[in-house]
Amino acid sequence: MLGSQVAPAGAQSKPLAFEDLRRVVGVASPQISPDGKRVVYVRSKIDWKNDRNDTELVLVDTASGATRTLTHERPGAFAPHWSPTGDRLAFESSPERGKPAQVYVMPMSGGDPTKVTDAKAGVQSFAWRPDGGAIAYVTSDEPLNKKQIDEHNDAFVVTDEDFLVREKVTPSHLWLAPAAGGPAKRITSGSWSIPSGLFPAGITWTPDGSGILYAKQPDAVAAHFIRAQLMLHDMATNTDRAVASGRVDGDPVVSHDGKSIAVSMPRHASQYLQNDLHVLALADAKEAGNSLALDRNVHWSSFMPGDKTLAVATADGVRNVLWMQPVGGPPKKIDLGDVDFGPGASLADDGGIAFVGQSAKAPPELYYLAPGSSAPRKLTSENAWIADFAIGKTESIAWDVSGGFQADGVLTYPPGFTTGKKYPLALVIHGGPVSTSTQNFSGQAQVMAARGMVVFQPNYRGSDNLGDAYLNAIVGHVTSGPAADNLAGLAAVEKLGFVDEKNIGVSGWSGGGLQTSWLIGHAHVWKAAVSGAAVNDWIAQSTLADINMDFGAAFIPGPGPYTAEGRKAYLAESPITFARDIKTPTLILSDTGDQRVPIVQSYALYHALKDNHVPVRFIAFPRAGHFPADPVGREMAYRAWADWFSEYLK
Amino acid sequence: MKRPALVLLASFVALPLAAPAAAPKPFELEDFRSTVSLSAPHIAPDGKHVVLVVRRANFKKDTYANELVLVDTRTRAERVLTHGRDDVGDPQWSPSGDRLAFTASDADHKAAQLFVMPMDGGDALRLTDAKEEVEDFKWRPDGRAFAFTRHDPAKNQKAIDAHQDAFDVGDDHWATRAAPLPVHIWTIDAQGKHVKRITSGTYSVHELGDFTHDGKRLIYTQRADAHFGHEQETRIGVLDLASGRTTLVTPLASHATSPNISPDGTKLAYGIEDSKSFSQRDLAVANLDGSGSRIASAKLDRNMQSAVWRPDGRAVFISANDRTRAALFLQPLAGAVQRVDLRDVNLDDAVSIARDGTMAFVGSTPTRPGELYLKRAIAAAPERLTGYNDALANHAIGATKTIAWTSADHFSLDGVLTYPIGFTPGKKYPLVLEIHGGPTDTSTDAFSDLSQLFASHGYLVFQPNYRGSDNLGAKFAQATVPHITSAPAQDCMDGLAAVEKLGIVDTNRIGVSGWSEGGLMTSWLIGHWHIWKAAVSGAAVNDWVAYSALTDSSEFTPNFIGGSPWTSAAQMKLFEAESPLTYAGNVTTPTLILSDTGDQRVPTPLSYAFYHALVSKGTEVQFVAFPAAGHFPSDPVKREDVSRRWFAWLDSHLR
Repeated sequence: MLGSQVAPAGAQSKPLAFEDLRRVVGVASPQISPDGKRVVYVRSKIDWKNDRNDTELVLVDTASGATRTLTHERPGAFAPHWSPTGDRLAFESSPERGKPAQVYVMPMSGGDPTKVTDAKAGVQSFAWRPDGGAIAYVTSDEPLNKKQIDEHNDAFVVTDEDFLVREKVTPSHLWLAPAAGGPAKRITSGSWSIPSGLFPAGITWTPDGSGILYAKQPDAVAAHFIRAQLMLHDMATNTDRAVASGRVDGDPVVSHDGKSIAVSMPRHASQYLQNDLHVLALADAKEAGNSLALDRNVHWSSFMPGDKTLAVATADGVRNVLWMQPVGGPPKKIDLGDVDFGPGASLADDGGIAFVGQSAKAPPELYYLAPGSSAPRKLTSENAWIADFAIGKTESIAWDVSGGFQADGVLTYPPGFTTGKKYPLALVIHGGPVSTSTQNFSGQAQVMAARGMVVFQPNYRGSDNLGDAYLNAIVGHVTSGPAADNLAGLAAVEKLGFVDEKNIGVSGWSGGGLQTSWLIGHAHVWKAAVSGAAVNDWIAQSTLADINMDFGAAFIPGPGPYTAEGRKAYLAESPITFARDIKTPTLILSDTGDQRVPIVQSYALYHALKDNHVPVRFIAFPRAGHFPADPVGREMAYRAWADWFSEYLK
Repeated sequence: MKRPALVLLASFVALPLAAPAAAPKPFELEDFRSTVSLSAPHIAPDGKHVVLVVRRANFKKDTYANELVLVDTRTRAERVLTHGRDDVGDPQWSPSGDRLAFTASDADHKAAQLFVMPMDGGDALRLTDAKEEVEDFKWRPDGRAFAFTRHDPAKNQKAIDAHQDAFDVGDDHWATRAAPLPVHIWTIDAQGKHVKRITSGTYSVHELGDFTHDGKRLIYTQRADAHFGHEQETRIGVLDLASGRTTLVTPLASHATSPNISPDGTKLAYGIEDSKSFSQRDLAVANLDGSGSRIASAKLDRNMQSAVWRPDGRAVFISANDRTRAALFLQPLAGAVQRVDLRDVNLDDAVSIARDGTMAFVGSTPTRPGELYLKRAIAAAPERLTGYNDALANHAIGATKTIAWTSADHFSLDGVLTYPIGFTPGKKYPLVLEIHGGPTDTSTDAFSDLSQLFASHGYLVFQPNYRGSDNLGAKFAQATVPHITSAPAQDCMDGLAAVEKLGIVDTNRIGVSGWSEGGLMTSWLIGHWHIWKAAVSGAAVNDWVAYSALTDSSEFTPNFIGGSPWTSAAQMKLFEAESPLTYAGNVTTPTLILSDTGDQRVPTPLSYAFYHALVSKGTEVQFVAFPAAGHFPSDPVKREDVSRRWFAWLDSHLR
């Protein structure tokens, strides 16, 4: 049932259904070899029967596009890293399925990979030492009270943990292992931690191998990743120093000459809002340039050869795009045609870029952008099967919203859309809120379109596709502000004349669920709603989520929910406050083990609707995480969502 | 089946360690590891033996081990009947007393199955063979067969096995991970043959009552579905075993429970409950078809915990809390109720009665944890048959006293005061309030290990029975509506004032603590008064709104505050006004917050909220979570750790 077979040429275009999406092949984590001649990436296929995504590492020749599978029976193979000379490939995999991942080194001249780490808790991230002789990695410590825990005395002190924690998370630290295998050596220790788990931070060697850049948070509590400082460990003296004062988001990238680093730093008080790229001298943190003028939330960056320019990935409008940002100069957007850039990109020594690209019509493939070129070349055909299916066209749409902004969004039309006919409309609102709906391939939108709905994905304020002013306009109006944008977007779509106004549904997950729960409490134009993993209550969200207090505070500034004034502000932006006004038949969806948007908020909405006799159904997925990560779980969620609309939007 | 009230069923338990010392010595926490718990006494029909469950803790394995023990009622000789059946329970004599049925797991069955042991020698025979455990069972009067209940397997088991395990959430609790499954009735003969399903459907069997004398019908209770929130909505059914058809004989509104048939086979005794308040269960008596139903215990006016027919069928023994005792009453079908004299023994659960009227029961006194007692006649003094807890009883024990006071609305309330070891009149002592949960529960003067631990370390302990407690009758229980927190909290403060009047309290050193509803009281009291030196708020209902969304009793608790908080602004306001979280900003008391991570009754998120509220105020607070399912840890190590932390927090601040 893995099937990536291609149907006979000339077969009729079929409507896309959820079961067809089981054929989607994942393409991720491209790593281009230093010489730019080869790319390794992670291919994932759905094993439906065992309900898992099976991964393997695949090697592609950039010139010929010839591919070769590198790994066999390597459960969960991921995170490929070329050795500095490209003679070996390191990657992570579990020695046995279900066991913590370890680092393996595969000789690229033939031979079995060697397992080079033996970390009890598994390896979170790793990096080759520039001389290729060793690997630095991050793993978490054993609990200090392991003996008591073994004796069942396992109570623990809670501080800013999420509501599902069952044990104290232990600090994660740096270790060094010989690349040929052998005993590992601990590099750092203490009650502080390298961000790990849900918010893992990477580590980076300085090019001369003298130091390792890492992030340091004050303790191991997941929520405190946001308090991390960028540190440099000096290997010779075994000392550590802070590189830059202030908060630093994301993993730093180091220039080829080792003199500069590029790090993303929050524009305002919080990393949860816009982050810009800053180029700093490693020695004294003196700033040499930044991406303030580019003014988009930075997703990825890398120094181009010569260190004078950075390749930068961001959202922009309804696209994910690539920029060239000179250090201390104006940015230039690279025209990639209809290919969305990333996530996932890697640079060769010559400036060639391998990246995962998506078009509106097809799931991801691996692309290659030769040095100096702006015409990406598709290297893989993992998802060629999609050609047999009728794919609805997508369009961008823009409208004016308050504050002088022009918002945008994506429309997906049913295949065979006929002008003059009326269609039911399904709003599918993205989460985040710092995120963007782009014109890349959306299996969910395409299946809903195949069922005859037009799908509208609005990029409300808080989205990261129009710059800081638009993103930051959400602050203080975390729910009501975006909701007004979404309603204005709906009006703009209605003006196009094809909307059957009696058959409009509203839906979303996470931040999109928040919008849904709010919109059904404030407007009565909806025939049905699907509120997935919704932030229905900002106080509960700020109390119970893994990102708890700091996240709420970023969007609802003030004294916090546990003061009279703060409580008022939080309740004023919480859908649950207005739940009595809801009349829309609503499907509530949530993972039982969602640490990001705790399911308890779905219980509250459920009872509010039920007690007011509004048609409501609440389906829970017994899984950890913010959205089902397993293929069966994902399909169940998307199917329940689409079925609810199919039932109500006639 | 008790109302799933917010009760802490705590007794801190364990292994016999040391022989009693020569001179009484005060308690240390570890002393309680030797506690032996007795339960489920069943007297043989001829009254010659009692079988009961004896439980000891194994701290190394962090488990409890049960065994069935047979006690000779004449010689008091004890004989252990089971070996290697650590979860054995629910012993029931066959009608003639020749065999003993019980439930236990075995090597092939993780879930407890039904066994029958011949009492004239021979191995016990396992009758049932299923993945699901036997929930409840009854001997058929002819001794040749059983009725038993177990959960249905999931209807969509195949889909679940294929990972398609999404489920519809109904009135379930926040920690639900699968759709709850209904329980149904099966029969099986006493040789383990002819297993047969009798009932099926979306409704769920709640508890088994009795067979009719001819063995053709079975009385039981059912609820409309398996959702946790509907556990209160029980009705009595009369099941015709041949046809599988049930006739429901009580209305939904009466919330009928625990039906049993009179010895002459003509009458039904059962409990009925009010659904609009934390309330009490009264005894109803009716004909087998439900006709002629009447409340038989109106004058008694106490929360009936168990009802057992007197062998002559003309009266019912009712166990119920009364003031500061767990008492036993005799309620004739015609005539005045009388309290049965148990001397200083608090009744632990139901009594078991032999044909000749001899009664066996487990009870505890102020100075001794539970032992087996026998009462040979209604006028006879209870005789203690066992001495499992001699080691504890030989320690120095703090004296207890009932303290009474009157509320502004003229209730005469009471509570239990435990004195420190070596109490000297004229001296002042630090005081710890230990507030019980429920609220449908009562602090009695029965031996309390946590109270004795404090008493051993020089503390007075006060356990107030605030309104909502089930020791003073229906009006007192209902007086919580709709001021579910503020009114009981005032009772606790009035009780404290009564204790302070004794002149023995060091008023600068008062701590307040409780679990569940007692945690609710604690969280409220520290937000409204600043007289506390420290507080321990365990599994506290800090927020009635969140509670109503997340608890397993979501469908009836809101009724006690006047209805759903989501239906009107006024209701929301009332819920918030009665929630400690609303006043958390006023708290200055150093507070220890305790909760199980998987508490389905008082959801852990309520403790997170209170914690963050105190942190944001800068109040000294520590939040300790116990990684366990349930409303209170069920394993010995964590149970002891709760006490350790509870004691240490208060002791370190009050010392």
